Amino acid sequence: MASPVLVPRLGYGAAPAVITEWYHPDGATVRRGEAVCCLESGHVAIDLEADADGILRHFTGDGPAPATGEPVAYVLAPGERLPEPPEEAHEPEPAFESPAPAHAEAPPVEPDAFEAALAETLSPEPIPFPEIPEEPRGEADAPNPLWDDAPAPIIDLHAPLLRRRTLPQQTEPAFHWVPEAESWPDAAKAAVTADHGNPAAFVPDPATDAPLEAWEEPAEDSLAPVAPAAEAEATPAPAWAAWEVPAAPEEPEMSLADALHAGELAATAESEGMPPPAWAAWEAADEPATSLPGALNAEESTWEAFEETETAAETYTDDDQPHAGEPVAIHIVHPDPVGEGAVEEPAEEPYRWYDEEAAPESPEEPAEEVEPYVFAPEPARIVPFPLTMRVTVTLGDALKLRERLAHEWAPAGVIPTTEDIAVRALACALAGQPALEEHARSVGLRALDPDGVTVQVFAAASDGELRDVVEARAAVPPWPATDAHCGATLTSLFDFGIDDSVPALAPGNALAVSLGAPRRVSTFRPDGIELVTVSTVTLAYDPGAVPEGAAAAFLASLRDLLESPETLLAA
Amino acid sequence: MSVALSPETRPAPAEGRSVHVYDLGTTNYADVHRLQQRLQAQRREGGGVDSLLLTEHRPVITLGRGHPVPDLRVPEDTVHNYGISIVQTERGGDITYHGPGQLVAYGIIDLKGWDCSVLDYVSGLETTVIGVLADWGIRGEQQPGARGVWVEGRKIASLGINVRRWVTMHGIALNIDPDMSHFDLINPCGLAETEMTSMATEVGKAVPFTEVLDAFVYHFGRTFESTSHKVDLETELAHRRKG
Repeated sequence: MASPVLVPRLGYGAAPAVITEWYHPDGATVRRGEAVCCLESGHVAIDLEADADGILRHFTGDGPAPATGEPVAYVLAPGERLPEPPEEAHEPEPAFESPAPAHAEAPPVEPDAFEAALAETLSPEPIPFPEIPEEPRGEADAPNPLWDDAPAPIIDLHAPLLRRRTLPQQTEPAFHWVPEAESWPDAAKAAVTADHGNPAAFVPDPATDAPLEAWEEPAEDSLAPVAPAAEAEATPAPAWAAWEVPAAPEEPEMSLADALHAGELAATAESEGMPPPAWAAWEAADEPATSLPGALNAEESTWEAFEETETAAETYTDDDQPHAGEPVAIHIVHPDPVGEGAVEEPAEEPYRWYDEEAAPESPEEPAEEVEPYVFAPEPARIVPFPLTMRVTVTLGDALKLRERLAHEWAPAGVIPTTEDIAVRALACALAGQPALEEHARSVGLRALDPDGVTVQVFAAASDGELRDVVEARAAVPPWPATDAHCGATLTSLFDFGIDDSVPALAPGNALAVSLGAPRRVSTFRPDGIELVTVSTVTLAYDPGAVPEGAAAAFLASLRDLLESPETLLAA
Repeated sequence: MSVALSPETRPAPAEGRSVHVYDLGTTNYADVHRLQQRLQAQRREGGGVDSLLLTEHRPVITLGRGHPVPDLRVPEDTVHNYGISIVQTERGGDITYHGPGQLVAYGIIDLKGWDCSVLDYVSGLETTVIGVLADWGIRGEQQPGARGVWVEGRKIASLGINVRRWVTMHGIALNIDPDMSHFDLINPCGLAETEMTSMATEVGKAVPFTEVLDAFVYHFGRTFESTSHKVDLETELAHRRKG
């Protein structure tokens, strides 16, 4: 039976209703519960729905709606006829004369064409309903933080309002330690870390603990970018199992894994709707892409696959920069032993890494394999008695800056926190002290939680702009404190309302700073007493690694930066 | 000024009418818009609860369903230069502005469950605001043919709702102390001569946002004879995360 779509009763004295929009053209197939048109009366917009599955036939056009209880449309089952309109309304039905709305997909049904359309509708053959694809899950269908199980985006939305900052649930580490990395040749390690001054993570030389610059950069031709991510992923990697891989250390160097998976991290961040980490932009800006192949983690590689990768590398140009987060691959090219395309290696032969200088003349004469690098870091020195210094910082300007930036950046969904400003200040204060400069390469934000301490590591937080830090904080996942390595850490006590605490100095760390919860204190001014917001900043440092004078100068610099935070906006 | 929220002073609620009140704080329009759409869809299917979302938005201009072209007093670029976005919505009514200092109340109410007509609901929202204004000594009134709440010909609250399968969304926005210069960017509700006002302007002093919010919840319950359950968002989210 034809199911009418009726004008609802709006209430006594309602303004005349008008049909403002048809969501489906005449003759369209609709499902029960789908909105078919919008009726507006006063400031009320009412979506009228179909009560049955079937073919929608408009009974009136745009404009004034019929009286309450009258149909504006019918939904017909296959083989059904449109109900006869009242006698007086037998002349041309306005429904089929009115032009279809601009958005309608079906063409307007002309009066002449109506008979044919009706005949088709009334054909004895049941008209199969076409599959109606589900409405695309756009932003409107994003998980509801109040009712869905998904992580609640509203938490981010109200980050400035909620007292406790919530950390993303991390069921398993975002990065996996690659034990094979220890056995890479020096050139491979250099490729990992050659990031033109913007390392994705702080990667100290495990043997010498020397800064990155001390490492020998690989020759340019030994680094060839391999662009297409899909191919790189599909390319089986060297058979690491064939190597004598030394046992992995018990505590993996996560920062190295970070460098390896820089592209993956950015891709993950992008897929989760988070802004790409700051270093993704650096990576995209660097001329040749400089990270190791994502394929390195795969099981095996063949010569064919390797050649494909090389071909892809040749087609890669500067104009074809990878997108942020797109895995790019760099591998060490060893000279073609026979000639272009003339390598005839059995497909089963795994690809091996060769020392470039000792490259073989022909595949039959394999080069001398590089001695696998044995990762044997010296045990980090545990500082038995770290020294501490304290200073009280006026936070008023930093809080105002945060409010102002939150307002400015709100359209982009970037919401700064006081901790972001403090992280930036920490990195800048370190960078400003020659004796501590190296610690500014990567700083960590420690979050205390009853379930454990986590650290978000920021690389080169003193470079670029403050906004980079804010965006990176949203993108960088927290790591367990035992696995996060950075030059210095900041522990925020905001969440707990604790005024002061000596921060823990993790093994290997020379500096750690804690930022106490802001509190209101009265202070004397020439014109009277004023209430100001202050926080206690406590520095713990290793006296063996940090001279006392440098520590004092650093803490004073940190105080000045926090009290004049405008200087932190741009490097 | 404090508002008595004692349950004893309230009229007996009509049976079955209850509403969960969420104070969302300062929000982006798009986030709350999505939230409303989810809640309305859920309520249409018979799930969820009747909800009242209270918030103040970051600056945004919204357009009604029937008026997709923004009725601006300045070039559109000027609006964007203010950092204000323009958003198309599914509510009734014309263009309006939301921003900090404006209490926005969105009701996700199953009107059939409340045995309430659409017009009674709209009128009830206006009555609620009139009650709030009365608490601060302001005489608000309805105007025939022009929705919203008016104070001596100046508009203080704008209204626009959407109803689908008898479940409402969107609602009413009461100017407490917003940046009134932002209203100069638009012709509010498409009326070039409309003058906007705010509670702070009418009273001549600052009006605490939270007190107005509490008063709105009280008068909403009084007008619709419903019980209100204030939901602590933080506790609720923590509970759901655990659950």
